[in-house]
Amino acid sequence: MKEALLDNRFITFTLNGEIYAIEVLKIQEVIYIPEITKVPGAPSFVVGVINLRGILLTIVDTSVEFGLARQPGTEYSRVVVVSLGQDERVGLLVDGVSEVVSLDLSSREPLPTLGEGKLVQYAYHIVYNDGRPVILLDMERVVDAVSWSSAA
Amino acid sequence: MAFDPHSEIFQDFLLEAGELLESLNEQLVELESNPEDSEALNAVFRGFHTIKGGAGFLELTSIVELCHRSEDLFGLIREDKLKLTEAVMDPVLAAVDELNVMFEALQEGVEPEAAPVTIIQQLEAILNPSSVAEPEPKPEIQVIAETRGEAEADENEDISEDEFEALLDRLDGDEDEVGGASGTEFVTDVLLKGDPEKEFTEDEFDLLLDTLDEETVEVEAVAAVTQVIPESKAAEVLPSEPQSAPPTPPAAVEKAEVKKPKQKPSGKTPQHGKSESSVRVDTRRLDDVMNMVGELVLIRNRFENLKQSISSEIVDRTISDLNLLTTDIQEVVMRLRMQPVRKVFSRFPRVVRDLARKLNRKVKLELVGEETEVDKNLVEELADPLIHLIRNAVDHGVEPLNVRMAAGKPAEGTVVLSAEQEGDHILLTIKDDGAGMNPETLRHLAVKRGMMDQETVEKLPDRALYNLIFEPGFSTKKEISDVSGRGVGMDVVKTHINQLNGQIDIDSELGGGTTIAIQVPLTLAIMPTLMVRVGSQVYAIPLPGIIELFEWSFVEVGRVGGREVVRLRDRTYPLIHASELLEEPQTHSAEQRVLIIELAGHALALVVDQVIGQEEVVIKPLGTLLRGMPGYSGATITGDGGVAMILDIASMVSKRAGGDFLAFSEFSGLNGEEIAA
Repeated sequence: MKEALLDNRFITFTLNGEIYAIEVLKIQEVIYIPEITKVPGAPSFVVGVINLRGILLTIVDTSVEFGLARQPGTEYSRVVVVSLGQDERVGLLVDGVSEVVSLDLSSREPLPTLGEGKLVQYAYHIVYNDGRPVILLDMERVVDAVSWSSAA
Repeated sequence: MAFDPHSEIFQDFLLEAGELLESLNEQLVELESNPEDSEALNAVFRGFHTIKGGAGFLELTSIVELCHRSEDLFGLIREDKLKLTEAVMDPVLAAVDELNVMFEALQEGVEPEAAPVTIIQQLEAILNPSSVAEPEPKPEIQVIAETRGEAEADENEDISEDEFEALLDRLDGDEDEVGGASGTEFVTDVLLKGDPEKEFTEDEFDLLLDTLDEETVEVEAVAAVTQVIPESKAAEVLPSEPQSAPPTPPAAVEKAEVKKPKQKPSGKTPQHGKSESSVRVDTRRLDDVMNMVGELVLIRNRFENLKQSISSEIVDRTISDLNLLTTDIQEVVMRLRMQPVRKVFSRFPRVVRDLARKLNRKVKLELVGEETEVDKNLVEELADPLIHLIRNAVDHGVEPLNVRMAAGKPAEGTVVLSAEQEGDHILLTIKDDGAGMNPETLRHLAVKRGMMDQETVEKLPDRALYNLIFEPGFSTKKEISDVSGRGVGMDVVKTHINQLNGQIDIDSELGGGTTIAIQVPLTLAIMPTLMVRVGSQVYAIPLPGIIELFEWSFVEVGRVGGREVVRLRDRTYPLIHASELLEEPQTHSAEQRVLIIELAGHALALVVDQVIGQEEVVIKPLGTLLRGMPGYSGATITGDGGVAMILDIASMVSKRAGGDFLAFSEFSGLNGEEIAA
């Protein structure tokens, strides 16, 4: 993985009870779930688009893509706005944002093989934090893999 | 001067020389077809000269090398010492191609590599037919080492003729305002003509110094030169003293002397021609302004929405003032971004020329309406599809020479590319006088490719058949040429045009030629749409395709071939439910409307749940995830701050309804007969 991990602070969030982490540097903001405009015909993990202060933001729910069940929204649900560089960003629907933690990346382990799950394509490593596994997510990889142009 | 891609001078050079290079392509082809055109000849000569000058100043030696020789070559042609033939043109065009590559490198901030030896040799061979074998020493003028300034202390440093001239050019450029017979030019003349009669007058010398400003390198250069003049006659300065360099043959120096006075005035002309009332603006700033105007339009729309809840005359009036002003600003800003289509058109004569030569055909490209202006972004977006279509016209349209002769047509084929404005659209047509398309071949192919069955195909009007070539996987050319596509081309062109909210249509006459018409909106940023509700969401449908609007109760639904159709105003349209396309439950209400939408060659009736009204929307690009998704041409922010997707009906329908929709809509005789008649 890349130099981006030099800053070892991560935001952790939950998806279906699992803990995921993305580098703090890549997070633009965390917002409440706004009114989302559906995009009929879009891939199933695209929940829709929103107007984020004049900019169009695509909201994705990766649980489907990761082979997890889609969870109903709760009061803890949030959208994590991840910047992808070059003015691009994507909104990730999560069940709840937990905390900002410093993770000791030297102790990271490769992701255990998860059968047919696609997760292994997007995340390479897990790190233990307080004895609980945290999955390191590479959002750019997710977007590269699922974007329309690469799917078509 | 070190290579610094961020310096202002460098950027200016890129911009100006880049434009010159672009027009060179066109001028060269023009010149080739019309060698007597002295204006074109001069323009080409000047073009090379000016690029060379700038490149020399920036020490871009590889560019200087190419320009220098090309310029010399056209110098000879101007003096009638050389005839402009294809043999001459080919290496020059190769040099221009190479220059283009170098400019691309420069634009990325990379110093270009040395010019390919083969091109230089070819040019040299034409310049000096006798001395091809021996390596030609570069004509050099030895000038005192100080001229280089402190940057290079090497005593033996030579200033090549090019660099020297570039230096002088630069000075020329700087003293434009002073005008008249300038000091520097005078120096040049004295120096290069070696005219011993001329003396510097005090005034001229002062004038010269006045013009030089703070640019120390230049001041030093000229000061050094001027010092020499009073003592020794200029002629003595000229011949380079043989140092370690190979001896310069006198011929080379003579050549330089002869040419110089002629080059001077020509090099300056473009600068004089420039109008002072125009300003160069970074396009990014224009884009910023455009974005802000977009936001302004949105706020205007929001006010329009508010107007309904606040009923007060004064509010109404203020809003309508705002409305007027916003529309004006929008219009003005749009104009700012307009550029003549010449910018893309100018590349095509070269494309046609090269291709025609490769295919051994004679093809002339006529450009009509190059002045037509469209949005800057659109100009760039149009380049690729147009190149493809033009190549196609030359490759598949215009017949080989013998076929043309046999058919009694003039040996030279003609492709006409024209542009004209039609309201808020621009219409581009590419018309060739070639073989045209054979409907029977197309029918045969359509069946063979499994696109439709024999029966359907036979009922298909010719016009609809022609449009089949825009379908994926359909190519009429039997053998695959490396020139135009493998049947992947035309559908890509169509997709591209559709993405620009444009439409493409084709007509052909067997033996008479093919005409392709492209209609695109003048601007990409703002689009008039009809806002409609489908299910719980609001969508925007581009207004240009919408022909008519009916109440649902007015419409009678029939069935043909397992599909719903409606008959309105004596025409039958396939009926599409927007709710079906947009995955919404089908409902019935009094608010439902039927829109008649016509899209390049097809028409259909679309049922929506409610028509909200007409709105000019600002198109926001879809993010990475959804970009390129068929069915939408973008999204926009609505008056209430929400998001409305902009529907691209053509791609949405063909995606959802599958390939048979096309055949079906044609089969129902929507427009076929009318157009054929």
